[in-house]
Amino acid sequence: MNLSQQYQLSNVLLTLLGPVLIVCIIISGSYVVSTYKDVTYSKQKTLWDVMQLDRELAHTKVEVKDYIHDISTAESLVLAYNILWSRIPTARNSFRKDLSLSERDNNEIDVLVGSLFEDVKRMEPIIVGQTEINKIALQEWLVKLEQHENAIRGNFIHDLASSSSRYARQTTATILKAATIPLFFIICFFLYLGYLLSALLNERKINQQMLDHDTMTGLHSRDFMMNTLKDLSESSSPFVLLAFDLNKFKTVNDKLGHHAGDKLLKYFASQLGSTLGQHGIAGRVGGDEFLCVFESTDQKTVNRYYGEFLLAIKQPCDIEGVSIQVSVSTGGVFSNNCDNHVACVLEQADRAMYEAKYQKLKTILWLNTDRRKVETQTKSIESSFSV
Amino acid sequence: MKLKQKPTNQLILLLAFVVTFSLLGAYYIYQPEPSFFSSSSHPVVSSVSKNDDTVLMIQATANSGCTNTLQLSETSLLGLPQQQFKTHHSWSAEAETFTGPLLEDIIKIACGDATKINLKALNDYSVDVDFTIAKSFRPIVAHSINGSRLSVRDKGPLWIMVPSDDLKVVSKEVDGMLIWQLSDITILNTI
Repeated sequence: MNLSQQYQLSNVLLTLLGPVLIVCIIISGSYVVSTYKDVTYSKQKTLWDVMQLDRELAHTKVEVKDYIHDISTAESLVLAYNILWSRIPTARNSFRKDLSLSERDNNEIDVLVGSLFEDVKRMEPIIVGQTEINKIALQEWLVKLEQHENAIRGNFIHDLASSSSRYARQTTATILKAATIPLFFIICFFLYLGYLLSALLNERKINQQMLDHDTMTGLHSRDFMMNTLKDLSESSSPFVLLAFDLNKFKTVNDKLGHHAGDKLLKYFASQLGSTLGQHGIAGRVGGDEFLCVFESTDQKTVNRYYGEFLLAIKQPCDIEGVSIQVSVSTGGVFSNNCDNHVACVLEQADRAMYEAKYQKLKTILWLNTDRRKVETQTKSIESSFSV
Repeated sequence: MKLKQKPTNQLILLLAFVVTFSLLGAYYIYQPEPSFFSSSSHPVVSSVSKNDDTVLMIQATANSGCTNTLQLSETSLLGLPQQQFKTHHSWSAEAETFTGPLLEDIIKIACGDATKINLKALNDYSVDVDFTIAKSFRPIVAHSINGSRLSVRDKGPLWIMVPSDDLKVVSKEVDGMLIWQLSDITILNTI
């Protein structure tokens, strides 16, 4: 009970593992996509803000020049100044949020933008709230603004736009780092698929093994024997078929019980397998009926093999203290007698075997002669039955 | 022979299973970005000069189906029904309180039902917004942040803001519409 429950549990877990892995892949995949979106979004924002900062710097420069040359008013210079001021903290905020900027980059940018902010702040008492702005101070400020503009353009905009910069590498690294998680799950999923496939193939192998063999005797099964015969006949390669039947098996079964009968069958099968089975294909097709197929079509060779087999079963079988001498009736047939037709070969082998039983023959009764002889033999069997 | 077909069937089933889940996953991952605003491709040139006390000017293009021009002074802006909410936004780590009239109310005064508007900032940056969609985010024209008036330095004097926290929208979806240093609104289309 406990064991079967455990087995069921592991089966359920195995079935669930696939969908769970797929869900994991989907979730981590969506995480990668969202990371990618975040990275591109923050990069876009950084670029946008640095461009805007650059633009306001240029605009303020124009306004300062215009004021120095008395083209514009103090009011519009103050507006430009205030807009420039507003841009600096906004840009700083974007840089801090940018996933692709490392701490080192951020520090560099902070120093860069920070010094600009200091210079902008320093001008506040000179520009804001004044009706007349000190033009000499503005001239000095203009030079500083120029320097800041160059510093931002040279260091930062180039780095953002270049594909081989540290910034670009950091972007790729961030995305790749996020991609390792789904990659892990994908590998797990393929391992899972591999495991399933190998389990499936293994199961199939076991099933085939069970189908091909007779569970009690370990010899080949009836299906396997029939398939072998069919294959041989389809490939039209000549073969020899021997049909065996245990003599007085029913008596053993009746007197000593089915258990003893089974033991006798096992003994017989083991002897058959270890002798004739080594040279051909031996199988159990029914209760006490056995078949053996040889690809050799030499009668003498098969007879020699049979001699080995007879020697092997000469030793009496000891079943529950009763020593039983196994005796067998065997019929043999050549496939070319029947133009390789399976049904015909089987039928003739059967007939030969019954004939051997009837004649109480110790050797193989061969039906290798012409058909007429077979028919007369068959008739003799039929007449014997009718008597 | 029958046995040989069994694993193939199972494999096909498994494959179908994988393909279905992958498609579902791809569908789940793929979420197109909203695009109810776009950077303006046709700069709107004002033909009317601003009054001295005007903080927000609302005009309409010739083919918009509206001819009104509205110049809102600070007092008239403060005279409108005011909204107030606290929300997080992209320009600050902390949630901040914004106060101001609904953008929809201001546009209604000028031109009734606008479907497409252009929002312009002090530095001449502008975006076109599909107002039928933008309306649903309940944008306000904020003049105060945390109780104090917005100056040009803190993205004032006016700033379009939506209650992102209340609406549970991702800031990225609406950021493009949140024009700061707002100075002009142009009605591009009405019903």
